[in-house]
Amino acid sequence: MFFLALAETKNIKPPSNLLRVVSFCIIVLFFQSCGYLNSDPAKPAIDANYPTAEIHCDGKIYNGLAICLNHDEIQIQGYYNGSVRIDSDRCDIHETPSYVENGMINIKIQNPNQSCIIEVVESVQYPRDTTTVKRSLKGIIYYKKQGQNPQIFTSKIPTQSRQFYRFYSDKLSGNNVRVVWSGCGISVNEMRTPFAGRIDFALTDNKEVESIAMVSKDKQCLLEGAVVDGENIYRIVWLATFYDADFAPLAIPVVKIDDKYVRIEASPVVAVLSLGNEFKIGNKAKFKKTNGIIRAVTTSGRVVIGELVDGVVTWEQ
Amino acid sequence: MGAITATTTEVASKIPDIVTQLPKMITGIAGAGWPTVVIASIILLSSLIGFFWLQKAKDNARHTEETQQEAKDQANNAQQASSLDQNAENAENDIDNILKGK
Repeated sequence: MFFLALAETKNIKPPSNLLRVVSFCIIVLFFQSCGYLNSDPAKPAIDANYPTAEIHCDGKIYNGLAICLNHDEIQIQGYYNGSVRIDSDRCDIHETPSYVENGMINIKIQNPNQSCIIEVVESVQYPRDTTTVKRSLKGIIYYKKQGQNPQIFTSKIPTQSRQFYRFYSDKLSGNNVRVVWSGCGISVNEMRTPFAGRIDFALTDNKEVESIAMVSKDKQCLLEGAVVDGENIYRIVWLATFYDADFAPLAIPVVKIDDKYVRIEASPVVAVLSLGNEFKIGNKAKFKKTNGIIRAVTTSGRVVIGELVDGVVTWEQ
Repeated sequence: MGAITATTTEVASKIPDIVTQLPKMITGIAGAGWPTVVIASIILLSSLIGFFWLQKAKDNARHTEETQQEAKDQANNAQQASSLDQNAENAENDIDNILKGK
């Protein structure tokens, strides 16, 4: 019946040639646009000093910034195919291994008794092209040598903003303790009586303010500290990056979970969505329900990672 | 709406008509002479080739820029890694020394 209805249109005056050419061009452009990834016009994360490479260590997942205590479990999650540049002076690593099909890159620490900073740059070859330049994902890892087991903290902080940070732990409290800090422009070595286990300090790039941590010229710093209470020593390590104030981290996607599926809808600039081992192009996707890591990735290197466990997602921007 | 009541035989009898008419309907050159068809085809084909050639050129330029940018990012990162590593080493040594002499 469809054919009959179509045949009956043969006597209808056809539209003008111009209209047909325009329609044809629209169709061509439509198919052409289907071949591209969603582009993200936002400032690239790596230019803003906002690390977003997916780091796995000590059974945890980090979005760009990690402190790892176990030397044989440090991995970088690859997206699609690509390569990861790895640099570390003290751990003597300077290499660019490749990966395929969302594979993991293992970072081998030769000497577990040597702490070191490891910086990575992940270059992803997406299955489709983009209309804008794709940018790499950066990651910073501090491998802390064995035997110290510090409490670890990581922070991504916008520059040009003054923020107060508070470390608190019952373990740190005492009546007569020595508090020592070094790094990020801070140097402290003093007795505190009593000590409530709470340490506050401000961060700013204004050098005229006293007793603060300075933002280093490289916009990243590491602070080590300890609280000594008699024979007990509690160590703390804090790794921070300071990102450009005009950079906007990627918004957290909307996730709907029913009995069978996990439906994810992210910002229109998101090029890739993933749950567990499954990766899909686009900013909307449906996955079979399973526990795993949710990822939203843009071509400018902005990434949001979430851990889905029994219907609850814990996000890291 | 006669189509709704058409039998299978009636539909089948119309198919040859469709086969002849459909290409003409799509190309919009029904009734045009062969010079028009040739010129229109050349223009269309040239436009398509030009369009895809331009896209390819743009893609190549973008890939070149991406490669250069990756190299730049990697170099910057290696420099930052070195600086932060020094910062970390100093902080760790400071704390170790203080704790040794506590």
